[in-house]
Amino acid sequence: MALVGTGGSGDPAVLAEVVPVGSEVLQARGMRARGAVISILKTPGGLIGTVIVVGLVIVAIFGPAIAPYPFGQIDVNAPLQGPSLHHLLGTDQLGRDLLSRLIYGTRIALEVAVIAVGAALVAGLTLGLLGGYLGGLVDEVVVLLMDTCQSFPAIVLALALLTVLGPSLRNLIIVIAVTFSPNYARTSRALVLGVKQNQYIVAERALGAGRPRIMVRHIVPNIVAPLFILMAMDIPSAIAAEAGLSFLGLGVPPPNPSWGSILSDGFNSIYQAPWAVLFASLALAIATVGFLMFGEALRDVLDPRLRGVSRWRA
Amino acid sequence: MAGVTTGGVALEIEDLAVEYQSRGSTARVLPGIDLSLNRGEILGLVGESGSGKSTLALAILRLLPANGRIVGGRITLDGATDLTALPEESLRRVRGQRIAMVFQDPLTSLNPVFRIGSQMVDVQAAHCDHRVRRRDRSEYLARAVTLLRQVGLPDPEQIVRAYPHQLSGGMRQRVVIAMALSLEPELLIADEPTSALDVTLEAQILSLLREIQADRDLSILFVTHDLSVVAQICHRVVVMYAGQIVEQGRVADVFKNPQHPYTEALLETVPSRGHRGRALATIPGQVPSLLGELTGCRFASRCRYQQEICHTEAPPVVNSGASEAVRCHMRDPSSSFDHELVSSP
Repeated sequence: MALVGTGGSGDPAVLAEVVPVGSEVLQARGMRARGAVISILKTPGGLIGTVIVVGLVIVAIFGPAIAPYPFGQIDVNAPLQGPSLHHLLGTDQLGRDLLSRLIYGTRIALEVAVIAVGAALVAGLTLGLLGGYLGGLVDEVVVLLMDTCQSFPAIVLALALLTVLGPSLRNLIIVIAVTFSPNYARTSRALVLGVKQNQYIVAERALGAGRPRIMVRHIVPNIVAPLFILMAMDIPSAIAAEAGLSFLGLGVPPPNPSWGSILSDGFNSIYQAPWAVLFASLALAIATVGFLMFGEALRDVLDPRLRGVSRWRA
Repeated sequence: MAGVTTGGVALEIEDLAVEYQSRGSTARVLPGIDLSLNRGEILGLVGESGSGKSTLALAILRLLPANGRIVGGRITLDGATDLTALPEESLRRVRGQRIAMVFQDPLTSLNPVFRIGSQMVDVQAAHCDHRVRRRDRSEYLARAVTLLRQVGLPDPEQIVRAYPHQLSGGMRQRVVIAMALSLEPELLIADEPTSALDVTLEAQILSLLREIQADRDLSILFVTHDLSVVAQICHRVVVMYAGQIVEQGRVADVFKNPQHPYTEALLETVPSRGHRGRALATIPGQVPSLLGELTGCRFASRCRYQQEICHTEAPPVVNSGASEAVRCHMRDPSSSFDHELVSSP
């Protein structure tokens, strides 16, 4: 078999490069971090995902500088226009520039998704850590709390909470964080239960480490990698959730532009001007797919069980 | 082998009882242990799996798993501190600073996500009263390097920058020992520290422990199931069976002239060159379940000298031969055990 003979793994020169020897072991780490970035970019999905994510982040950060018009500027003389040189993606029913609104919408979408998922991570990790490590009554309370949260369909819970709290950017973030956090609590609890069995945890206790120190210093660093993967995979869902709730009028209050509210406005005039619906959906689809691709590539790199077996390397 | 260098008792365990709970039933794993460890002594704790030796080791530092608890007795450190009555915060200071522990498996004794240096600095920083500043950290790191050199690791400056997975098992066990020594404890509990290593490494680690013991005048409680290890390193030995101490005494005395039938049988299971070609000796039967009430001697059903009294009455602890304490009817001259029936010693 010609393939076997010429393959890289059998070649001693290549092996010497791969297997670090002596003090070179210690330089390997910096290379590994760089290697992780490179392996993400090497996969087609990872590359596309990264480009989309980086692009969206740039658009979100520099939105006010890029947008041709302020998002709320009304031009009553030019409602429901198609794409033109003045308005690249056309205008909505009030004559507001669609491109500008989508750009500002990117800001809101990312802001809500990142903050909400981050908050869900922090809350879920804290609860899961306490429940998983302390066990007993604390654990039962945490599990009960999470079971209760998850027994509602997420959308119903979100609708109920938003109706009570009233629509605002802050409440939207809170609601999304609440509906997403049980997943993090469950995952971190399960991971903690695994990690705390390790002998090094008992060894740390034998050396006089207290509970807070063990939980924060020794357990958390051992479980964050899977949680980061979960986060990357949850951001597109959070973007969709924000758009969905805004579509229903429970999200960011007008005149602030959200992809969801642009969509819902567009539906009212879909026969006169399908542009709004088309472009808002497209923005949503691109963002979701981009973050998903990025998340999957990140998972392939960070999750040791999947590392090295992904399709593109075969 | 160096003898006991200083007098006094480092650790005194009196009537220590430990229970494990599992699904409603309670197992009294240690029904009442009496043990003393002299200062500057290496005490071997031997017994087969399930004899309670690791439980005893963990109970000393109150590191029992969640379903285990100490239900009675005292553990006195240095004649003053009762560890069973100490509040958690004071106990935390005893752990590491006064008693350190080395575990069986060096491959899992180190946190995989931190460099060796940062873990060793962390141990020292955790026991520091004031907030740790950057300057302290570099001092701690220098001390870590010194310690690593003392436990015989080559190139310690490189090792502090390595992650655990980059070191071999023997190197990791040396790191763990260095870490245990970093707070200058007076007592080291070693729970089968060489069981996971191959024999060459075992010999190296044992001679390292002996050196450290002599240099620092440390007391060591050495838990093992390997009698040859006890013979190599320990001054005194305690033999455990089914949660009880059945015999204790100086290693030379106990090994030359075992007084308890279990010790005798255990010593016979050690393969030796003279027995080449013969089947390995075993002790038939199994350790009794600790879940129920036990009457008589716990070893009775497996004992070659068993008599009726062994099954009905718990044997007393007596002095016999050169051993300090033996739990056996056969060695009790005042018992109704029929000594005539036993031909040997």
